Order: sequence, then C-alpha cells, then structure tokens
Amino acid sequence: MKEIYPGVYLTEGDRLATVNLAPGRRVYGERLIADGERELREWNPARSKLSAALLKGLKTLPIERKSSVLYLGAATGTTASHVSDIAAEGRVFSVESSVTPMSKLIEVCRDRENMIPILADANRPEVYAPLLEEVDVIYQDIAQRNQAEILLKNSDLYLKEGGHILLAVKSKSIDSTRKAGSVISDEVAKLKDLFRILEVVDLEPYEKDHAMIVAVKAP
Amino acid sequence: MTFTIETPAGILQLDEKGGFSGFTGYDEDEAVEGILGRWAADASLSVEAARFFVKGLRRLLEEAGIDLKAYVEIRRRVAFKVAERLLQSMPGADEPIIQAVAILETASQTIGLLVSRLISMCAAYGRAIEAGNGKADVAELLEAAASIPSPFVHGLTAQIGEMMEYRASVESELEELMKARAPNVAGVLGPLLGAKLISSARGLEQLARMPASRIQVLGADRAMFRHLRERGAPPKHGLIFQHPAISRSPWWQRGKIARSLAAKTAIAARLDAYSGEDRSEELKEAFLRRYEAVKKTCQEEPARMRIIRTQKRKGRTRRRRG
Repeated sequence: MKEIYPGVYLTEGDRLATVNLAPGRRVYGERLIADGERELREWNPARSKLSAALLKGLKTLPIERKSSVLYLGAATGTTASHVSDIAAEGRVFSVESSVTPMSKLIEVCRDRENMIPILADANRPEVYAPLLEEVDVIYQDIAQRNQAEILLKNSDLYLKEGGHILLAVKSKSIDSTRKAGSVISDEVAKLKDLFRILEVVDLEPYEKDHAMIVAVKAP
Repeated sequence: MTFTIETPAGILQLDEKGGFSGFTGYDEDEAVEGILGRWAADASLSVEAARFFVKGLRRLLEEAGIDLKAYVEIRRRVAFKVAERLLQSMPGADEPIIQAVAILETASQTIGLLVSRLISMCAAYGRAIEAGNGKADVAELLEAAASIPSPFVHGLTAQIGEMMEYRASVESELEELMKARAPNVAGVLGPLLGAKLISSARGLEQLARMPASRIQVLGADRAMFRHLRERGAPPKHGLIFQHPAISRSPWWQRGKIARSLAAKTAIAARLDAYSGEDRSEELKEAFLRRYEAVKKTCQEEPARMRIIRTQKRKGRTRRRRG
C-alpha cells in the first residue's frame, strides 16, 4: 500500500483509497479494505471527480491532514467523505443547497467529526458566515453556469491568502453548444485576477467534458 | 454603522471597523433561532459584516472570552440543528402535492371498491340499484340504499359518505396548495389536473425542465413506448387529456388542442418554478385563442387516416432507445 498523496493510497489493484475516518461505514457502497490497524475505503474515479483527477495525474493535492476545507456542492457526500478522510484532523464545511441530497449528507456528517453540514445556497456565502471560519482550501463542484462567480465570492470571504482552490468544471453546464476546451479556458480566464492557476486536468475518460482546475489565491 | 452577528455561541456586537464591542451568550437553541432568523434573504448578514466576523474570528472569540475549542464543538452541533430545522421546513418542496395526488387516487379507488360492494349487498336484499361513475351518481346511489333496513348497507353507505367527504377536503387543500405553489400551472390546467402533472413529473422543477412535447404525453408512457418500440401511432395526449378542452372535443381536434395546452403548461411551469409571477390569465387567454381557432378551422370530421406501410415491419425491428 503506497501513499501517493498525503492521506491517499494506491492499492494493490492500482486503485485509490483513503483511510476510513468512520471505520465499518460505507458512504456510497465503496469497498472497504482492512490494512493492519486501519481500514481503507476505495475511492471510485467514476463516482468522484477528485479521484478521477488524481488518477489523471494531478500533481498537487492541496488538502492535507490538518486542512480546513470549504466544500461547495457536497451533494450526498461521496467526494466530501474522502476529503474528510484526508483532512482527518481538519474540518470540512460541507455546503449543499438541495434538500434531498442534504438528508443523506447530514447522516454522513454525523459519522465524521470533522464534517459540518450546511444547507444553504453557495451563491450567497455571507449567509453561512456564522457557521464558518477562514479555510485553507475551497473545493467546488457545482454544475451551474455562474460557477466561477460563486467560487470568487466564496474565496473572497473565506479563503486564506495563499489558500488553494479545486474547481470541477463541467463545460456542458456553462454552454452546451461550445467546445469543452474553449469553455474551460474561459473559466480559467475568469479566475486569473484572484488566482494563480497551477493545473488544469482533463477528466476524460472518467467524465466527459469535465476538467479539474487547481489554483492558489495570490495576494 | 455597527454590526450584530448571531454566532453559534452568542450575539456578537462589532463596531464600524469590525472591532469587538460586546457579546451576550445564549444556549444552542437560541443560537439556532438567531442564525435561522438571518437565513432569509431580507435579513441576511451584509457581506461586510460577514467579512469582519470571519477574518477576525479568533481575536473576537478571545475578546468575548470564549474558548476556541469549545466554540468549534458548539458550532458543529448548532450547524446540525440548523440543517435539520431547514430540512423540516423545506419538505422536498413538492412532496405534499405529490402525496396529496396519491391520496386522492387511493380515495377514489377505495370509494369505487366500496360502491361495488354496496351494489352487491343491495342486490342481496333484492334491491337493484343503478351504478354510475360520477360523484352525483354515487350520491344518488347512497340515497337509494338508505331505504334498505340493513346494518351492512348502512355501514357501507356511512363509510362511503365519509370517504367522499374526505376526498373533497383533500381536493380543496390541494387546490390551495397549488394556488400558492404553482398559480400559473393551476390557472392554465386547473389546480387538480395541474397537481397530477406535477406529481407525474415528480416535482414542479422537473416539470419546468420538460419540453412541451414531453408534457403533452406525460402519463401516456405505455402508448409512448409502444410508439417508440414497435409500431403504433404516437400518443396525442397523456394526463392532459383530462382537461375538458381536450376530452370534450372531437377526436380530430384533440391533437392540435393538446399541443397548444401543453405549450402553455410548459411556460406556466417555468414561471412558477423560476419567477413566481402570476401570468395565468394571459396564458389562459392565449390558449383559448388557439382553442377557438381550432374549433373554427377544423369543424369537418376528416376521413380516418389509415397508415399504409409499404414494408411489413416485424414487432421489434424498429426498436429505438427511449
């Protein structure tokens, strides 16, 4: 079992896994692997864009053991739970705006002491300020046309100087008529004022027309 | 300009530069109320206040005399309570409508079953009573049965009467709900039929995302798939057929009217889901204009069209992916 990023392991079958923070518990039917004292959870790239990005060779994974993470678009907690595994001694503020996934997410959060559920619209970040603090990382996976704007608003309020963002872009939800590549480079351009772009990784073949953008908030 | 912020641990006062100016502690339930009070759009924290609070959090907590570690724990518990409260107050938005439609259907089935038992029971006493379908017919039936001196008959009539009253009360509740949640759809289709469409689409937003052509055949799944999979004409209408403008029109006008009604419904659903503005009158008028036009121009019954197939197709050769 090789640790290829902090807290992320490569299993013998060349799959990714994280150390289960809630041993014995599954979040989305993933495989649990016993590894000595600890238990690993397989991290399915078909279900999680972050896993796909790592398998596609993302160089920097800015989430560390003590990171404080604002996770926008946590849905039912599939990826967020793995982020919670990685940031085991940190915190994951998990924002989701829809009721149905939140009822699942809240249960996932209950099992994991570092997760904080927030049922709110990421378009208005000031609303959830009382439940938040400055964070090291913002991870965003929201299929909305104004996703760059949402990220900028949240970064402005909550991201520390020098903090990182991970943005999963789905070009089809921005403009379904244009080529994925040009949509994604437009999104990158929108971020350039506030961020220094580190990497853009295409998630093919795990996700079509998706990319993961990693950037750092530059003063 | 000073700022008041309801935090998980208490009410924090900030001066105009974001400096600490006061703190009053409260318990977690008060915190939930305080934070939720700010959740509404018109009462939310200003971006400025939020920024002061977040950037100065450690210093502010220190000045308020709150232990950071304790605060983090309280905050997590309060966050759960806030989310739980919101989950309760935002019941899957259209779930009540969907459930009410299901209740109406169950109630109607129940009434039907009990009525058929009642007819049999009356017959057992040598009294044939006529069966009908409409609500008025059932009322007549109950009246006729009332003269039969049998505890079985009386029990049944009482149950049927009660179930009908219940169904009527659910209907009027549902009408209110529809007028509040989807005034445009309710206006175009009528509240009950509108509710059935929302229910069939599994929610107003889902309905709003459908093209009119889909709305037109919503509820005609079997006919639609038969059309897609095998031979068979495409359905002209689904649930929408229940609208009197379609069901009371002759067959050759129905398709045209259904198309127009579905188109107006699609617009209505989008208004309800995304704008909230009530423009049902306008939509209804637009539909009626088209309706009148169809009535006028298509008075003659056309000869029934026969679909002539040059090639005989076997059942499943034309299967498409649905």
